[in-house]
Amino acid sequence: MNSTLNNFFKEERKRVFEPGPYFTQRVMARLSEAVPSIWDVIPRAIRPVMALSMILLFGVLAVQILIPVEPAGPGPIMAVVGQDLSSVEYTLFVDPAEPSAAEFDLLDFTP
Amino acid sequence: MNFDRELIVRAQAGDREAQESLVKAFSPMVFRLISRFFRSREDVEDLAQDVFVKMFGRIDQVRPDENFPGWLQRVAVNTCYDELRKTRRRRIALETFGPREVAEGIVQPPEPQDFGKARLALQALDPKLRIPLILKEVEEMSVEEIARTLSITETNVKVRLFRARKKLAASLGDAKK
Repeated sequence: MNSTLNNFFKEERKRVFEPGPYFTQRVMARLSEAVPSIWDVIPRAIRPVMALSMILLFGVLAVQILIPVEPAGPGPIMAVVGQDLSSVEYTLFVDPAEPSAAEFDLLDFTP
Repeated sequence: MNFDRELIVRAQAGDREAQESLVKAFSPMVFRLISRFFRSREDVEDLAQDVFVKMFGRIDQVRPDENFPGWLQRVAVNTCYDELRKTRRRRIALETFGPREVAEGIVQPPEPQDFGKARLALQALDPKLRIPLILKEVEEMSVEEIARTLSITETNVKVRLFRARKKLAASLGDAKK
């Protein structure tokens, strides 16, 4: 390294700031102001377990909320309304099971 | 560095007197370390406060038998690294998008011309290269100590030192032309 840099680094070694007389009080004042969050209250050893369980919990909730659940049966309203439908209408509009090609061919679509 | 290790245990339990004693004992070391990277007294004091607030926030991670000054040095250097990265981003944004008067209006303290060039070349270095170089050349740490402080391997420290010196030499060479 060239001599300019060496001299520069030597000068830099001399440039040091000392803490002022009230520095400790300022730090202590900042510490008193700091409001601990819920996360700070939880012991550090438990935090990874808590984080994982929170992620799982929110994951399950997100799945429950965001992904709509398809009803297994026709539902109470369709169960009542379905009584007035013909077998063709029932198969087309209410029956949750998809008809096979053979069953579909047997349906009578004539009004 | 000599200090009562009992202070750490008491500070971990929330004893304010012990916390004050730790700040008093370690503030000269923290100030010295931050002074290596920042030139204004206000910046150094603000960052030193941040370091101690972080220190007390994480003090329950410290085991009384481990190297507490080394751990605190790590906290201080990481705080400086974060601040240098922020400052660098701001400076680049200012140079790219800011008005020219802002950059020209900065008054530099008087110093020998060559030192000014060296300081500017050092400031232009990426903090990743600048920090190990300053720790080595100004703070006179060994490669092993730098590796421990920055939590990187010794080989990585050597590589960064080599690159930093090469870039500095190139910038100063360009400046002389």
